[in-house]
Amino acid sequence: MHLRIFGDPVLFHIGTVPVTETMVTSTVVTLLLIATAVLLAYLATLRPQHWLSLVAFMIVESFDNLVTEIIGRRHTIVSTLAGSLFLFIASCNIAGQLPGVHPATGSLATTSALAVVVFLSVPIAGIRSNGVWGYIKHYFRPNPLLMPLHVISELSRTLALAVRLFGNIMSGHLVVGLLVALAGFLVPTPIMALDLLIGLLQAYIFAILSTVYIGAAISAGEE
Amino acid sequence: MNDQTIIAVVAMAGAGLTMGLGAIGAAIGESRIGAAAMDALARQPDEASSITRTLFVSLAMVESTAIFCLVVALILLFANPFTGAAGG
Amino acid sequence: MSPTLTTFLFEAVNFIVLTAVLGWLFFKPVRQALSERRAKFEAETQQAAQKLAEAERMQRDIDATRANLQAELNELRSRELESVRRQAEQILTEARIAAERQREISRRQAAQMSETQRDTLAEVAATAAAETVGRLFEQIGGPELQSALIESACQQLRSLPQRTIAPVKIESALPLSPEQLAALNDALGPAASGADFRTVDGLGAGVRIATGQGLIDASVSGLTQFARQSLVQEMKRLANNHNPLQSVNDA
Repeated sequence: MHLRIFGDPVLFHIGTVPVTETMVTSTVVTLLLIATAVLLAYLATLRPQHWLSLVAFMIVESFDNLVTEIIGRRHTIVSTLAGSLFLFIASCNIAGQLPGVHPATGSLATTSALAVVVFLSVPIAGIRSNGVWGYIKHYFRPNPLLMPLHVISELSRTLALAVRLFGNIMSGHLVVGLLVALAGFLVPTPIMALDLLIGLLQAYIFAILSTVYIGAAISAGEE
Repeated sequence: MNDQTIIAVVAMAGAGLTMGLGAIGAAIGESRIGAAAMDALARQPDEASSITRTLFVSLAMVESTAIFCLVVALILLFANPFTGAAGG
Repeated sequence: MSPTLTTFLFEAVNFIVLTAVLGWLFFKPVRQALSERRAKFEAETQQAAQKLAEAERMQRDIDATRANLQAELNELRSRELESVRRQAEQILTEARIAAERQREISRRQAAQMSETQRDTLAEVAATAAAETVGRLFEQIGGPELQSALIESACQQLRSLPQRTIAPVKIESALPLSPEQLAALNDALGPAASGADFRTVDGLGAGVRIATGQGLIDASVSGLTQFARQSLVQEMKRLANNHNPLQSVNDA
C-alpha cells in the first residue's frame, strides 16, 4: 500500500502547469456544489413549498442566525463566506468517504489556502467596517507593546486553522487506510462513521472560527 | 549501526513520545471542558445551543494540539528530512 | 512550478470563485425568497390577527345584544308576572269579600230561620203546656179554687196604693159568695163604692180586676196565659244561650 501524507500525485500537465489529484477532486466537488446550489435556489425561488427549497431555507437561515449570534448583527457577506466554507469543507470530507477518492481537505495545500483566505478576509472586513486607521489602531490596544503578540496570534491561529483541518482529515483517512490494509474489508466501517462525524464537525468549527475572527475584526473599533 | 539507523530509531522514539505526551494534555483539557460544559448546561438549560457551540469549538481547539502532535509524529515517521526515505 | 504551490493557488482561487458563485446564485436568491416568504407570513399573521380582532369585536357585540335582550325579556316577564299576581290578588279579594258576604247572609238566614222555628216551637210547646195547666185547674175546680184565687187577688189589691185604684171593674167566672164579696170590698177599701161587679164566661174560675193602676188577673185563663207567656220566655232564653248542648250536658 501507499501511505500518502504530504505528497500529491501530479496527474497531468496543462502546458507547464501541473495538475494534481487534489485540484481535480476539489474542482469536481465545487462544480457539484454549485450545481446543487443553483438547483436549490431555483426551487426556492419558484416552488417555495418543495421540501428541497425548505432545506435551502434552513441552510441559509441557520448560517444567518449563526453569524448574527456571533457578530451581534446581520452580516450577509460574512454569512455567505462562512456558509461557503462549511459547504465546501463538508462536501470535500464527505467525498473523501468514497472509495478511491482522496479528500481535497486532506492536503495541506488546500487547508492552508482556505486559512489564508480567512486570514486575508480579517483585515478586509476590519477595514471595511472601521476604516484603515480604525482597524490598525486595534493592534496597539491596550498597549503598543502588545502589537507583536497580536501579529503572532493572527499568524498562529491561521496556521492552527490550516493544520487542524488537515490533521483531522488526513489522520482519519490514514487510519481507515491502515485498517483496510491490516484487517481487511468492512472492519473500518465504525472508524469511517466517526470520520464522517469528525469531518462535519471540523467543517463547522472552521466556519465558526472564521466567523469569530472576522467578527472580532469587525467589532474591533467598537470598544 | 550507521547514522541512518540511529536517525530512524530516534525518530520512531520521538514520534511515540510526541504522540503520548501530546495526548495527555489534550485529554485532560477536553475532560475539563466537558465537565464545565455539563455544569453550565445544568445551570442554564436555556443557553443550551450557545453552550454546545462553544463546547465544540473549544474541544476542537484543544484537540488541535493533539492533532499538531500527530502531524509532528507523522512528519518524524514518514517525512523526516534527515532520512533518505522522505515520503512523498 | 511546484505542484504544491500550484495546488495552493488553485485552491485559493477555486474557493474564492466558489464563494462568489454561491453568494450570487444561492445565498442571495434564497435569502430574497425567504424574506418574501416571511413577509407573506407576517402579512397573513397580521391579517389573521385583524380578523381575529374583528371576530372578537363581533362576538362582543353579539354578547352585548344578547344580554340586552335577556334583560328586556326578564323585565317584561317580571312585569307581566307582577300584573298577573296583582290581578289574581284582586280577584281573590273580591271573591273572598263576596264569599264573606254570602256567608254572612247565609249565616243570618240560617239564624233567622232557626230563631223563627224555635219561636214557633216554643209557642206550640208553651200553648200545650198552658192548656194542660188550664185543664188541671178546671179539674181542681170548685169553690176552693175560686176562694183561693180571690184571696190572691185581694192580696194583690192590698199591695197597691188605696187612693189610685178607682175606677174598679171586677169580672168573675162564678157568682161571688158574700164572704168573697166582703173580702174584696175590704181589700178595695175606699174604691169599693164605685166598683162594678159582673159575671163573665170564659174565665174558668177566679176573678179579673181592672183598676186604675192596671189589671189584676186572678182567673184560670189569666194564669194559663201567664204560664204560657213565662214558658215561652223561658224557652227563648234557653234557646238564645248559644250552647244548648252544653247546658243539656250540664243538666
